[in-house]
Amino acid sequence: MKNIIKTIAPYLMLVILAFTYSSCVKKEFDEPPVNGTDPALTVNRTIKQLKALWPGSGIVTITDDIIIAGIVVGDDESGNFYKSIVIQDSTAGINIQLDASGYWRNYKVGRRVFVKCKGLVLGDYGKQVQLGGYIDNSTGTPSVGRIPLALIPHYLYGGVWDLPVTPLEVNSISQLNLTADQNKLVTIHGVYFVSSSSCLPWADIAGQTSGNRVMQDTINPSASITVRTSNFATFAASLTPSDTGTITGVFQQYNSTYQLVIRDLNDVHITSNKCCVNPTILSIDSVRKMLTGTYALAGNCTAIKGVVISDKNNNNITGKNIMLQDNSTPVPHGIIVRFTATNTTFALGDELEINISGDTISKYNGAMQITYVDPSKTTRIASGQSVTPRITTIADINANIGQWESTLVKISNVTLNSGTPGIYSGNVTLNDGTGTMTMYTIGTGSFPATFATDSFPTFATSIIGYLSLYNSSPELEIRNLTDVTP
Amino acid sequence: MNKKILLTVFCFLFLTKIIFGQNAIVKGLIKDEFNNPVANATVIINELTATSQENGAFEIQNVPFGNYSLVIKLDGYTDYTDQVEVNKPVVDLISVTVHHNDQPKANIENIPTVSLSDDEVDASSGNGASSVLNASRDAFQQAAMYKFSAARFRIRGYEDENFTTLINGTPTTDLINGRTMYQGWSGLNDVLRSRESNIGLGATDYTFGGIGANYSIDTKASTQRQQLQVGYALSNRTYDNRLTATYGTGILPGGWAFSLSASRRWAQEGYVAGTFTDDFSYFVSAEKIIGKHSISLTRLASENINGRSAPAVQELYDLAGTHYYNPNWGYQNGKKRNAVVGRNSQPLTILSHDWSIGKKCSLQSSISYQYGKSSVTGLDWYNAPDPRPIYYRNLPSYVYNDLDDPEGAAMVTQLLSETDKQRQIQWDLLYDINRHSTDTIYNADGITGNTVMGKLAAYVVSESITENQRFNFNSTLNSSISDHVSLDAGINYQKQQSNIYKKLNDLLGADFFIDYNNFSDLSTSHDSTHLQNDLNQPNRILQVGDRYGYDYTADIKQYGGWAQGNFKFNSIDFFLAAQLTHTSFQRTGHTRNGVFPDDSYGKSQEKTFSNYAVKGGVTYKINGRNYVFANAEYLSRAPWFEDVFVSPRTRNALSNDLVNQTVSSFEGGYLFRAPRTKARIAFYETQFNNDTRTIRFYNDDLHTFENFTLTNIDKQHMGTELSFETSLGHGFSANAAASISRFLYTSRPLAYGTEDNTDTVFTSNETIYAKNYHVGGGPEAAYTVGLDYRAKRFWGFFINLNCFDKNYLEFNPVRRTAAAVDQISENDPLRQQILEQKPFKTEFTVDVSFNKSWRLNSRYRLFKRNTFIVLNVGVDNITNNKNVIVGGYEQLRFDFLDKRVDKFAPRYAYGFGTSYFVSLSLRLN
Repeated sequence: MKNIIKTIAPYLMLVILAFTYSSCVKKEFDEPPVNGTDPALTVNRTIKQLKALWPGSGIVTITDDIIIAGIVVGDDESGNFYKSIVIQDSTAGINIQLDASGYWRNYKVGRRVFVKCKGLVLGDYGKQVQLGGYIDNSTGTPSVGRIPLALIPHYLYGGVWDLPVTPLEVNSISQLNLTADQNKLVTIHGVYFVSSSSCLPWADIAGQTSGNRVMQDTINPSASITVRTSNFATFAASLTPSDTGTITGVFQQYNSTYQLVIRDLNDVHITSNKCCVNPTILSIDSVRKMLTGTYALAGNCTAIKGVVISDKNNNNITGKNIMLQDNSTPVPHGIIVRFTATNTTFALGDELEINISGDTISKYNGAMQITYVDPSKTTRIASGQSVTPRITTIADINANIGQWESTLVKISNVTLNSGTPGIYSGNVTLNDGTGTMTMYTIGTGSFPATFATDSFPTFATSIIGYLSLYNSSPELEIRNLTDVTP
Repeated sequence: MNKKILLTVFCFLFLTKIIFGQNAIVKGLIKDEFNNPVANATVIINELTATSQENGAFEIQNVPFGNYSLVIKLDGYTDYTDQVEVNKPVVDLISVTVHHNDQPKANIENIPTVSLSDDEVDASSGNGASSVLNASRDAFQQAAMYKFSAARFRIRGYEDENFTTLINGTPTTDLINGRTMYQGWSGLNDVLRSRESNIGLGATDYTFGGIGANYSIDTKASTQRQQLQVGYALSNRTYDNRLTATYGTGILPGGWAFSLSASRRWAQEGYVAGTFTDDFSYFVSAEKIIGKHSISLTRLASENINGRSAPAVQELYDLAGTHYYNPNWGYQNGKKRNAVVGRNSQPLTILSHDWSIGKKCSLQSSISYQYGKSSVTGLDWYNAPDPRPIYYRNLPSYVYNDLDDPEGAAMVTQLLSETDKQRQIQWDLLYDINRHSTDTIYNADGITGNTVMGKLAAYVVSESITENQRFNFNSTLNSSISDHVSLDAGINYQKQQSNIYKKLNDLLGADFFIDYNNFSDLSTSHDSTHLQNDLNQPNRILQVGDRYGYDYTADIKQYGGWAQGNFKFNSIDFFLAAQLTHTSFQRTGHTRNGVFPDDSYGKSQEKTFSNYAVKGGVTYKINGRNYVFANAEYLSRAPWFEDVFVSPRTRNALSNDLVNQTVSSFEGGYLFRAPRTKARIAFYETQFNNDTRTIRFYNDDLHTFENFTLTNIDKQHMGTELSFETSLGHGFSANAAASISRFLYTSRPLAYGTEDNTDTVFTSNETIYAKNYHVGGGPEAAYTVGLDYRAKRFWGFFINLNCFDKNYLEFNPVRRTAAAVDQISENDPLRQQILEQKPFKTEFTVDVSFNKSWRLNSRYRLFKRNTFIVLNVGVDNITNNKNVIVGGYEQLRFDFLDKRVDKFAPRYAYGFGTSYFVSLSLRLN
């Protein structure tokens, strides 16, 4: 055994040697330093100056050593900027076309990016200036080709990360300038999705098409902006909100259309109270009681039910309004419902369930109404329902108008009298012997009541109509001529 | 104990003629291949030894009657092993020819390491090293092992599952995929010399075996040389340096024998840029001989770590200006870092028992246990673009053809050819990105309200790990019933448990990673549970060392038995053998995959297969120099674990139509053996039927791994093998070998395709028009001619000219479907482009080597024992032919839209140019 150990010993030494030699293939890596600095490039043009090189049509190749820098305001993290990036400096913003998906990992919102423009091309898409890699003639019409993936690091140089960008803030869409503000980050206050665009997926995933959802603002009713969302966006299947609020995004031009592209849902500060599925049904009485100050907001996911007692067909009601009455006990109540669009759908006698989540309850010239009601959030339960009017006297009406506002009444043996002889239009004084009140008929504007110029009888056996308030005075409004029995 | 009794009874049942108490003399003459007498050779029979005289004569006395192995050992010569039957008082072997150890060890190392990354391995069968262990018997086997292996030649075009290697009776096949675990003992060549190798369908007495070739390695300490050897080698191949030391005691008084060996091989950077190797192997063996019993304990281990290379498209080779472009590495802080690093450590411990039950009956049994893991790292990413430089959109051809931007393409070409940095992984960029990827994880680790904020890695280095635990019991009985009849039989039980999972290896500067399915695309599924790799631990925050992605265990059990009868007569020998095998597979999922919540966690159904194999053969001895032989085999084989499950990484689902593969094989030939000339010609034809294979690959368009299961695969391999060697006198000898074959598909397989990120089947029973396509993956024809010169004064010079021909790439089945050529007219050249399978060009290489040994003790008194210095110099591919394609595959993606074949061009790997290996070793006998 000793011999064995003796002979093995030198050999063991060798093994140990071999082991200790192990430092020869050491593979440990330093980690690179955190790269939070800008590249050594001198910016010699503003983005506005660069965009000015585009002659207004066609595609031009940049031949000078132009270097611009801007902070990324739009990337493809959520998938909504497909193969394009938007950078902005203090003068303007520009859209750069890249043949890359997931580039946001390197050129992320908030990172300063320097662009060596020599060799790139400037063109447009619907008058929106784009910076691209080459002139793509493959389709016949020259278009701006995306910068090839392998060349992106050759043109785009990342600088400092996480820089803030202050968006351009406006209170109305019309304050945006299609040319000057395109591809800038903007924030618009007081906007809402129109009824045909709210509570819908941002884009159509099943149909694999981008979504164009239209917003309007509360200041300029004629201005609108299209919020465009790619069906590849991670939030494409989420629903657009229903209420009014603030939205941020990259402002874009498509010919004369105002477009907005949001980065993700963090850009949207709008509630969706109206988009609920099973709202709580409130009595109209309880809704009316919510209003204690100048306005009140209906709770999340609430609705009212009732029968339309106004008649859209005869126009004796403001186009966007309907008068709704419920059958609550001990006394029925009613209220004016003001839609965001002209009511062409809900007729006299329709029984409706109206989602009023987040809607505003306020008074207009003394009359209580629910406003910003989305007609698409209104469901017709039945039609041809009749509401039995309360049989009463003018004296009782005057005494109970606070309770009876917006409900249907019937008064009897009434004499009718007005300053201008003969026709319904405007105010007519009614007298049933117990007191007097005004009957009002719309006679001016683009859509007067159909019977506005008809002559009224001086005496009526009965008159049916709903009650309204005009600056604390009760008024009675008829729906059509069958309400008056001579 | 019962077993022992049973076997004894078994032995006695068959031993009809046992002769007790007689001893004999065994004698003979040892000559080399040039008929020169060989002196000083050690001759071993039944633990008795003798040394040959100057005239080559030897004599061993007192050999009991029985069957023995005769072993002749001498430095500079290949170990000679043969069976001798001692059944008369004087057994004269007359003349025994030993062969010079022609091939310097240098060549053994000549296996180009073209390692494929994990997903690519599935796509191409990695059979490359199968011929490593051939013992050099005839010129063909020599060539298959050394000269042809450089071009990834595979014997008869067979995949690795058709070759069996036993170490002390223990099978070394990985039951997951049928491959031999060569990496477990790489670097231990010094102690693995004692081996028996048999090509083809002939009888072997140690295993029923595969149809390709069977190898039996004996590592028992008593069979190792009594010597101390230390050596150093210098090379420019996969490693630069090699240090080896081997020590053997021989049989010591008291019946003990010990053997030790260790080697270390390393390279900071191998032949291919970015590759490196560090390999430490050791071997310890002890044996105690007690009368008729020998108990041996062997442990062998190879612990290695290597940075790998990967095949690339020709476009990148052209841009790089070299055929040794390697996409796996990149600069990190100015230093090269390889993303694909393989590690292996699976020590094998074998306890074996050899028992000479009687004069004519022996039983060898072994129990082995192997535990360890092999792993490979790779880049992994979540919600970020593919960081690998070989991404097709990075290439000039994409810019040119798909973006229609010729100027851009020219610029890309310039950028990619200018500096290597652009062509490699941008580590610094990955770090930069990770450091600026602040994110918030809600309900982290599945805990409601647990919010984790920090840098969520976009890119990480992952490690795919297989932890194997293998137990094996094996017992083989060899008994001689009469002069004419002998019987071999064996039983075997194998149990393999492999835990396969992925581990987070490096966060690359981020704070954490998350266990989300990179391939589950929310914009298509919109189901957040799909995102979870493990619903049992949703939103799991990962740190370095954590398991993630997938985690499952494969349980495989196999048992079987075989028996073989050998019949020997004056002019005819024949044998018959049969084998029965039972195999069972089960998967146990340790994660509940979000896409397959009901079919991923827990145990799968257990799938069992019963198989049989029969073979037989006959050799007709025309005379002592001319032999004719014919062998045939028919077998059924269970599919491998990898193919039994549709996608073992994600779910328990079994593949459709699981059937046994059947193989029928025939070979016949002629052998010529004369003192100066040896020749062999063999024909073979093998038909594989009903094979099932699953190909897995990543589809970039669909962002998912696809599993493409092909069933009904029929293949025919047929060809001719030639081997010739002759002595020309004056120390010169010539050799030639050739393999001329054809490997074709003979059926139209059916494809069944599933995705890993959805539970949908994207194609079912799609016909693959594969009939008469070449199997590919190695040359169908390989030739070598060589000239050797051996001087009397212990030096030799060797030169070989090799030729490789008819080398086809493995084809992409997706491209051979009706859909691929849909709406292309019959005469459109595009149709041809899509469907064709062209062979590579014929390639030639020239290898030379030189060896010399010095005997020091004859010159210096300092050395009391026999002391040699041996120098080996090998230069392969001396003409520096860098165009030999040694691997590759057609990419499994196809551009169905534009039908542009080049968009996903084939990937190739090239064999090394001129490479050298110089070793110097000192040997004390």
